[in-house]
Amino acid sequence: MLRNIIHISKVEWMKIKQYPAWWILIGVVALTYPATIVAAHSFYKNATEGNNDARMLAKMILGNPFSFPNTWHTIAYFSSFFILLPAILVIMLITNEFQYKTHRQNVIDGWSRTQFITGKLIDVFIITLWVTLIYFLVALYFGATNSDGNWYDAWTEIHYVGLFFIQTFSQLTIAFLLGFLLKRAFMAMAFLVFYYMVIENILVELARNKLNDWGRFLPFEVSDRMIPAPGFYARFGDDMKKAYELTLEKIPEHTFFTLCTTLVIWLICFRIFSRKDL
Amino acid sequence: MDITLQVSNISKSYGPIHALKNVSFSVPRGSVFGILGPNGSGKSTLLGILLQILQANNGTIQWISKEGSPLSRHQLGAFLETPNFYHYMSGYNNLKITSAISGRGTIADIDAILDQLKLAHRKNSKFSTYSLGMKQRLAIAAALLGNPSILLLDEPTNGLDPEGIAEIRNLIQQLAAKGTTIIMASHLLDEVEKVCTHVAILKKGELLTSGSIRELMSGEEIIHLDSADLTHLQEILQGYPGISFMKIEGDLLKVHAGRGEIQLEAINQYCFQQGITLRQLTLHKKSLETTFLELTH
Repeated sequence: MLRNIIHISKVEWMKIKQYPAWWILIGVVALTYPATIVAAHSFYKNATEGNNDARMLAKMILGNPFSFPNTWHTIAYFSSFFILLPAILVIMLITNEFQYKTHRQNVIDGWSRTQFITGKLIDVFIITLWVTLIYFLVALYFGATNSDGNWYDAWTEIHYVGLFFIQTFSQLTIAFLLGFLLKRAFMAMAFLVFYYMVIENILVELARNKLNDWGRFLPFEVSDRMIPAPGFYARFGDDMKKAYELTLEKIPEHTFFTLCTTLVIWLICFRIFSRKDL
Repeated sequence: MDITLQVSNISKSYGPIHALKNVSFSVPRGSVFGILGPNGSGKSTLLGILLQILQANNGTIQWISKEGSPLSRHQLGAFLETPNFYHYMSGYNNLKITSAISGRGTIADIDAILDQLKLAHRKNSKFSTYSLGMKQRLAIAAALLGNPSILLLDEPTNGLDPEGIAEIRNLIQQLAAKGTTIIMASHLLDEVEKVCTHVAILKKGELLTSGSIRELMSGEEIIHLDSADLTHLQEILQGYPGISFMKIEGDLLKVHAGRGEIQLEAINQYCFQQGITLRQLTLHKKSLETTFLELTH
């Protein structure tokens, strides 16, 4: 099995390493993530540096979200806003195969249908690894430069790296499903943006205070709740602290449902592709 | 008979449309097997099922190796309908992917096959910049890569100029001479007649006939005769044994007879004894086109 996965990975790498959009989009991801955090950090510094009362109050409330160990959580949260960039790449990698009919040719040349979809799963995995690596390096850099050389608790929230990886993989899997089902890049991207930015947010808000908050199980929301907003507000009294702690306690549950959703989506893709006419 | 492919009772429907109805035939090892049929007869559907990109509703396909075991896909080179390659990659790199997936051919083989198909000078150009004929050549190159023991080609001469068609025909004949089994779908009956040893003829999803071309066209022979007075010649030949039918077409008298029933020497001697000197006497077999049209209409 390992040999088969290595073989498929090699072929997928041959396909993507010559695809110009691949290099452009991973370059954009590599620049966008740090640039955004630099902007956020600059905003934070402007709001908290200096001796006037307002700035000192802001610093007291916010603490330093960019120092160790907060950096892992803070930067995971902000980085997750940019999932649409790698999602475009995932959609293009699958819709290209349909557009050029190379999915048929791969099977004609001797791949099983399972091998073909495994190749796409590996693509999503590689892109997720890349995005996670960028997040890790950015978080590490900001932690190192905001902690006054203090590394003693640098790794206490390192589990956010794992959560960020699972969240990214899950959300890119949804993007893959749309490309796989709709077959056209433009349609899949348009649907993804509309659903991610509009439809799901409306449904989540509608369900938040009614229907037992079932919106938490929607495909993006369930993984979004794995990395809740950093808990600045927990400093405002016991109720806020309790609310934040409850959010954190729910992370394992949401991680479990995220993994289930991701698994189900891939099983659907494997099953559909193994049965349909190409 | 040594069989390399056994197709048994294959049926395929697209909703209410029956694309294939209980199609069964076998392909002898080392044959050049033509799959013929008018547009919409089910040729491409059949090839798609043979290559496992379409799922049959019923029936079985068995690819059999020389040793009698199931044939490995690595021994099969194929292309179907249109050339399918990554547009952003060069022809050379596309063939590297074909080789990596199929396990057929080495880097040296890729260079050799591109040279053979006259694509060496453009091997590093992107596929999207290729002409239709070049794309078709690359698809044939991909199918031939690594000398597979079976080739499955769908309309291999599509998009090629007359010189290219002749080259592909020669290539198919050379490969057949080396023992490669070739299965090809085509609507160019003249091409099929020149290269194929066996055929299957489909119409509206039904198999009308299959077998060797020699057997298929063995039913009737036509003798072309010419003399100074064709009407008199026709009168003389009335009642000559073996003639089933004759008529004057242009400046020839065409005599139809059963296979082997008339000897040219004998009819020449008979005419001479009747005082008629023949200016032309040639034997013609019925063309595949004629046979095909008779079967499909």
